[in-house]
Amino acid sequence: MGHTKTAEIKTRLRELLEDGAGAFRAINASRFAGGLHEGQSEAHQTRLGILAQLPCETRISKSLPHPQRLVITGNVQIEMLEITVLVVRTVAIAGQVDDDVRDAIDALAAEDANVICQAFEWPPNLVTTTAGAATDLKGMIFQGSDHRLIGTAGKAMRLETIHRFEATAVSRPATT
Amino acid sequence: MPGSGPTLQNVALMQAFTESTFGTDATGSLGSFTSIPFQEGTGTFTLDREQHNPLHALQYEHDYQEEILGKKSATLSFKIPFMATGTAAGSATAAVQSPLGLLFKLALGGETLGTGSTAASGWTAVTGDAASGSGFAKGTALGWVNASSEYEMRPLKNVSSDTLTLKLAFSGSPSNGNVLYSSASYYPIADNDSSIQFVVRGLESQDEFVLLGGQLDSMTFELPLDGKIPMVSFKWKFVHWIPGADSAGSASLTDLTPVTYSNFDPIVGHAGRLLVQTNGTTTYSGTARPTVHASALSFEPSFPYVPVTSPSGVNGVLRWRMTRNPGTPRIAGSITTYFESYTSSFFSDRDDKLDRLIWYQNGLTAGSSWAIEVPTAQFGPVQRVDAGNIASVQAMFKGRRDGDITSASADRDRAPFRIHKG
Repeated sequence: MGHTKTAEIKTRLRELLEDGAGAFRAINASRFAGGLHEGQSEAHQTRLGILAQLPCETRISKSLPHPQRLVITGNVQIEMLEITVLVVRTVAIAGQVDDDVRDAIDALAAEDANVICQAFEWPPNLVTTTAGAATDLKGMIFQGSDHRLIGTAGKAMRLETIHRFEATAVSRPATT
Repeated sequence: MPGSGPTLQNVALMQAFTESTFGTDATGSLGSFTSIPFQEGTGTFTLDREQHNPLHALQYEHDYQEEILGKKSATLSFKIPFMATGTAAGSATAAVQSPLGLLFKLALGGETLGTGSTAASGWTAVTGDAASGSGFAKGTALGWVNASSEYEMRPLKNVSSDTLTLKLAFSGSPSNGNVLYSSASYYPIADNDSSIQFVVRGLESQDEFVLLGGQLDSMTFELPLDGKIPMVSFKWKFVHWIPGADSAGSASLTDLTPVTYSNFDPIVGHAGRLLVQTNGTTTYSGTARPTVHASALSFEPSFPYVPVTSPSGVNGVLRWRMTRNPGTPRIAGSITTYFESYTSSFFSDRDDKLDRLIWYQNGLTAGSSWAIEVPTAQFGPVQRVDAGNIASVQAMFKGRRDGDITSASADRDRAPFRIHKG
């Protein structure tokens, strides 16, 4: 049965974020890395956020009916996914009191949004995984970024940014 | 059907067919009908039958005359994604007809399904030889994937043996062996006498009707640039309808089951390119004119049909005839873009009465793209507007016969409006 190719979609998004994949407007392969997940301690995430290659994690946060969905009697259906990309940057103790350091981190966090947006919103980047598996991902649109500073004063803090996208994908329900 | 009503309105099937004989039931060949992937909740139809009052004199003040039943007619409305075909008409591959292509062909009359080839050496950004030019035609589109893997579509101005010439340049020159993609192209023809037949079916066993002798009532485009799916809204009008049980194909109208939409590739509307260039000028730029950074875009086709009546017709109608309203162009529309200049802008286009090609390509992947072409447009009125708090210009346009294709010998060559699927 032709479900939404969520596995291929997740693979492709990670390739775009972490591997420098994409024929155009590709993200530098040294910008983001994986390794961010639930259950990690704050201290561990803070250590990861120091790395030059920033930790990030992509999630399919919601599956929704597409407002332009088709009648269900066919072999093609249009689906909507809400996708989030979490990026963590660490603000060291010394940097917390340094205007230039804080400004630089803020600017880079905002720049992440546009870097990711340009790669994700270019439809040819989404068509297949690097291995050639089709994603049936038709397009992604940036919805916004939320930045928040987490931590305790006197310790290293984390600037967590969630970049939100709306994705249009196609599923292929069976006809027999 | 799974039981009788009440059933859900949104679970339905719609299938279309080009009639070989006007208004004649073709459901005996139901397998030849094309399933239409319409948007859930947008399919509505009316089953009309006139009733007339003979107004004979009555003898009781509270009485009313029994009305006489008159002729039938029907209407059908739905929205459908402005789809690509999903088939890239590359080397030795023919372009295919999508469900939307079927509807465009019926409404406009003209269809050309080309076959792709490969580039020979020696191409410029405007012209060169294909290994075989036989699958291309002027008035259709040519596609090529550039060095950045972006699929570019351009209008073909001329085909002379294997030599292809564009109206507007690619961003670069195809290299020897590069695939040259052809297109499925749709355009109006003189005296289109096609008619369409629909079968519309719901879940309940008797909720199925055949609508016969149909033609276009109206066609409107929704072209969002914010990532939504572009849509086409159709309204059709029919001269006759019959319940499914009375149709030639009634035995085939069994329980509703899922169907296959052939050559159907829905695409979103935020990735493409709008080009506006003077007829006869091939210069391309990816950042400045002819590239236009539009915030809104509309194309408004006008192809009205009137019935040709006859006592021996179907419910008094012999066929449909496309008509012409004086002073109304076949295609009009508008482009909104941010204000950048007055001297080199739609204002000057209007003042100089320039003949401009409008080329809107949506999609950047071969086989998953389409383009709308107004080959010779005149701009005006042009107005300074506020578009989402961006200082902008809105330019209206009206299209005329293609003034850039020389030696125009076919309807396709002269068409004021074309749709290409590549």
